[in-house]
Amino acid sequence: MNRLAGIETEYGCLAPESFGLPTVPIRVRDHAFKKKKLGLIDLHDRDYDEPAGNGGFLFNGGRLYLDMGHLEYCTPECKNLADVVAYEHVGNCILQQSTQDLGLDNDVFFIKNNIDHYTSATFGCHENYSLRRDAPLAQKNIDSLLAFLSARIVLVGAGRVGVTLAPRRYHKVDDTEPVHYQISQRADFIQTDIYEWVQFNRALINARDEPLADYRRFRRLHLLLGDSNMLAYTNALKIGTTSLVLDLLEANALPKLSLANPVIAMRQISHHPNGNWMMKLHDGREWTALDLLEEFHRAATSGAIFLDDDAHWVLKEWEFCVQSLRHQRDALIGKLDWVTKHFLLSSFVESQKIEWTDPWLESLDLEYHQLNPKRSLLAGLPGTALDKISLPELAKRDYQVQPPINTRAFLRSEAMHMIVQKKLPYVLDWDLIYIGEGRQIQLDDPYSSDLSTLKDLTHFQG
Amino acid sequence: MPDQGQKNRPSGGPTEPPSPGGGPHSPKVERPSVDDLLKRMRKVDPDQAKRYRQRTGE
Repeated sequence: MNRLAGIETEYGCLAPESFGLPTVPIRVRDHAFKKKKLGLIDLHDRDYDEPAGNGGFLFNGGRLYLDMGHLEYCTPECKNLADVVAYEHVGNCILQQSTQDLGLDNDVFFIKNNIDHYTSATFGCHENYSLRRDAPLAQKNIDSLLAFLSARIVLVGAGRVGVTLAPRRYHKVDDTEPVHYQISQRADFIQTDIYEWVQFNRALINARDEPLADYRRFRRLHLLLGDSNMLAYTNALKIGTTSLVLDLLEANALPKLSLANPVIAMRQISHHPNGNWMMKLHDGREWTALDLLEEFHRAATSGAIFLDDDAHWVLKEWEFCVQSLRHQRDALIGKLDWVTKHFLLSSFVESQKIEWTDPWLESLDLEYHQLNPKRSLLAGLPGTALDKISLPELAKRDYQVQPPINTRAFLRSEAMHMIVQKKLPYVLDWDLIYIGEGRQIQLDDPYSSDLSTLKDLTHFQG
Repeated sequence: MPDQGQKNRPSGGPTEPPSPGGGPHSPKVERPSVDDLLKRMRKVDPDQAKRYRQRTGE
């Protein structure tokens, strides 16, 4: 990729009410840090809702912490597509292995989804992409980016049973037809196009300007519209296509496309998995989501941007998916989450002779997102594992404890090992490390893995 | 936005879309066998989703 990317995942947890306190997420977090020693727990408050001990950085460069009661895992900063997908996956492994170590795996299940079907709760899977500070964020480019984000759900939605309706002020009125299955988990919860909050009035583009790096050189695009994907292929496609569209943005080479209402268009598409996915453009024309995606694909192959090995993989699979969605959707079973989940649930409906309104399907919807391999529905589908999808540059690495070697995550991890070795007090953050009394190491270039950055720490004695 | 539902095709129906413009379909792709998966799916507690109560996050 021509940029850094990472994924933050908030996990749901299905545990018996009788378990009491401490909650299972707290027990798993403590196990990961105190028993497995996968990272260094925060010694100081990070924010009013992130007190000391709430979480910490991992030796793989990522973070594990509690957020709004959910256990949340964030990958390190990754430069390669395979790294993003592999580090995202290892978050699942950390939670599942810890649950097993604690002897809870017969009673407790972590579910990597974004909704519960009964309370209208939602929790996120956020994407982060580095952007150059001078990226041309003109209105025409923002409109084009919004159009892509709205249309991409036909590639990257995780699928869900049912619908979550909310107040009419969000334009979420009852459809004339019932929605038994939809493409996206989050579409019902995205209420506006651009906004800075992450818990209310969620937006297609989060406008918070917090690069966690040198403000003069970098931006960080924080997206919270995406679903938690279970299939490595979908995850790679989500990060890869979005990264290429950001390449086009930086090159000022995005297609000139502007949707009349990208939020409503995305929700309409989500509610009609078998519809024609028409999207109304600002100028009155109507395109399908697949037409739009093809236009972005064409722009990416026009010569305006540099294409590396990751880009070639993405462009090939992007084209394959659009063609398959047009003509041969079954070819995407085991590749795209929403198609795969729909196939499994349809097979179940047919075999059990039940209706799509049967609440059993909501339970099976959850089961699709199971982390426990003994229960996971995907464990029975061949060819879905990360090492089967031919991503370039998949490293032979212990992703639980080793960082990416080509980003600042490598420096963070090295610094953490030195802190342990020298028994130093510390404050760790994405772009800064404090050691001892007032010494600080800036990690404000997220692309740098230059070990000389740590020279102060190398010579420092506690 | 126009109504996007296909009236002759209920939501949650079969996954295969019609060929646009009435053109020829690509050769059929064989679907994976789901016999073992269906056995696994039948073991899932139908009330599991009712017990899955989560707080809203971000």
